[in-house]
Amino acid sequence: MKFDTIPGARQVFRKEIKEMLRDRRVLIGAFVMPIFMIALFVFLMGFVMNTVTKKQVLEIAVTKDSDQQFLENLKAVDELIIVTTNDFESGVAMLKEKRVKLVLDFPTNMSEAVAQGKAEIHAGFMRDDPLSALALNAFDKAISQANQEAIRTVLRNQGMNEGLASAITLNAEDRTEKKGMAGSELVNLLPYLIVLWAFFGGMSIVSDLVAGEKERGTMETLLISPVRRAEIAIGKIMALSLICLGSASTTFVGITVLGSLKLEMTKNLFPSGFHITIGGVLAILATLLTLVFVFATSMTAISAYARNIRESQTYLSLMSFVVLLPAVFSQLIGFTGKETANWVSWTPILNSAMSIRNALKSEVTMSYVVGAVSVNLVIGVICLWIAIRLFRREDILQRV
Amino acid sequence: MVQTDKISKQFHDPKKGLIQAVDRVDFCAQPGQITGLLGVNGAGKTTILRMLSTVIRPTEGTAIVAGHDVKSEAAKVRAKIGFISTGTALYGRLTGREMLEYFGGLYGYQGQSLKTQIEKAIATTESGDFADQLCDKMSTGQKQRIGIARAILHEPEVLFLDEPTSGLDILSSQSILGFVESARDAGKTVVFSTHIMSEVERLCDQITLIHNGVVCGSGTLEDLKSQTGSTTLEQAFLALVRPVEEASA
Repeated sequence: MKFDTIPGARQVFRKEIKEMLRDRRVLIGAFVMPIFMIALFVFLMGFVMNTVTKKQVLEIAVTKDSDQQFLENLKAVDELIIVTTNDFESGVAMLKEKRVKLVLDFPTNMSEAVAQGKAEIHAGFMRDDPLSALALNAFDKAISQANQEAIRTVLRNQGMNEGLASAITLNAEDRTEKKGMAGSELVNLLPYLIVLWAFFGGMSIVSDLVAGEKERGTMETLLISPVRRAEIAIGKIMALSLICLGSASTTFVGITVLGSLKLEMTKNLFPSGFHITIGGVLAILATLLTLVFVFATSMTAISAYARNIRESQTYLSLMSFVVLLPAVFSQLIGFTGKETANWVSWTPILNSAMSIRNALKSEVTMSYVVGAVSVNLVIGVICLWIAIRLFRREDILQRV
Repeated sequence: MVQTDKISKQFHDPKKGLIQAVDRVDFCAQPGQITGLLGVNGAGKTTILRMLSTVIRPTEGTAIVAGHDVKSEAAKVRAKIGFISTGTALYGRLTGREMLEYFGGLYGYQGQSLKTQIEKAIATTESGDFADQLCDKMSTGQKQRIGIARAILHEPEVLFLDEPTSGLDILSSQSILGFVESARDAGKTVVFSTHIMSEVERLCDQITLIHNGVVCGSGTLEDLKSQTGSTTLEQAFLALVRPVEEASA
């Protein structure tokens, strides 16, 4: 069925778009908020990344009875500010007040204990404070180095090869291909946001689209005109699809603009710059077009079924969980090692998010693209059929 | 012309079960006449008009509207009718003219013919001064005029008016009633549903009394009065409704 052969649908589509673009809720909900949210995410994540990659100055509390020589050595380290406390518990109190990141209690005679191989350092930290965990980790590395140094000294004194103290070394190389958004912390978040706004952009208006028309009494006027009910449904779905697509695209355009600006704030978020292949764009487009088809048809069906705007919003809020969960899971799937499992390609929404994610990395994965497009088309056609059926049922369309 | 043939409608209510909203209603509305459907709120008038305008389908019986069957030729019926009611709202974020362009497009008008029809409808309803305002910004009377312009845009043969003056002030009501009279004078078939006796007395050439979904009387105003020996329509109405009321009790 060509759009030109259904003039009623074209009329309904044009009118809906005109009305939607005059609705402040749509402009804010579908276009302003996605830009605001993506800008906020990028700047917040940029701030966090810059902070993490910068050398931190960490405050450490050390008990005053600790070995003085060892204490002096610690004070000489630039990244550490050493605060002495009366005892370990006083240090823990400071830790809880976030005044220090780590509390250390060394043996009184550290050098002697080290010589006997019995040097035990008591450390206190807060697992829920990332900087505290970071300080512990850094100190643990320092201890390992000190241990190695001690072994080296012993080996040297014994006339043996001191290199045996670090007989095995690890040289790690980051071999991530520098293309698309590969290596960017945003690559997991962005598909989630795109899927989210494709849904929420449409959700901001869909209740008004059918349930609202029933409630206000304009639906009856429309039903009395010669336009077929299927055409009314198709026209409304087309208009809603465009808003969903626009809303999702706004996120994508927002990230493209922010990535292209090469701001100091966001440089750590785009380690490979921001570029995407034509294949990637086509994969995203195919996935998004079919995804908004699913969202538009299903939300229109829900709005048609509901008696009024409030009922429609209740159903849509419940539906949003169905959309959110697979979208959230797409961010975490890397930890499960199931990215290449067959079922991922056939799981609705998750497959779309994965298809978009890989396309952003300029790795078009055909199993995701084909899976997402075909699953979306099947669900979309079923929801379209349901929506048209509901538009033809007078007990549904007449009830308010 | 409108001719109903034992038209009936049942609704299913989850709590009350089957509800017979309209039961074998017969009446005829001729061109150049105003046929009044008179009844109290909930009598079944709106259900009858919804069936005649093909928004809902009769459970039993049928009706011929402008030469087409409401059951089998619904699209053809819709192309030849206009429907006016205070319950049908306008699109608030469209101007009056945009609203008319939208419905004109739905009725198949394009280009110059669409513009001509819109200007005609605006002139007939004297809406030129506010046609370019957003419908949300219009007064109730202005909205009602744009609503009428929408209903007559495609020059329908048959006009259905469902309590068109309900909630309107006296000036707006008079303007609507004047429009109904001019539609009759233009040879249209007008079916006018109301519960206001004075409007029926002023406008209607034929009156069908509806109560509890059934016809309990029909004829001219004089016929109804003489049938019941009443001097007013109000008395005639009460006399004709009482037996139906007693039967249903």
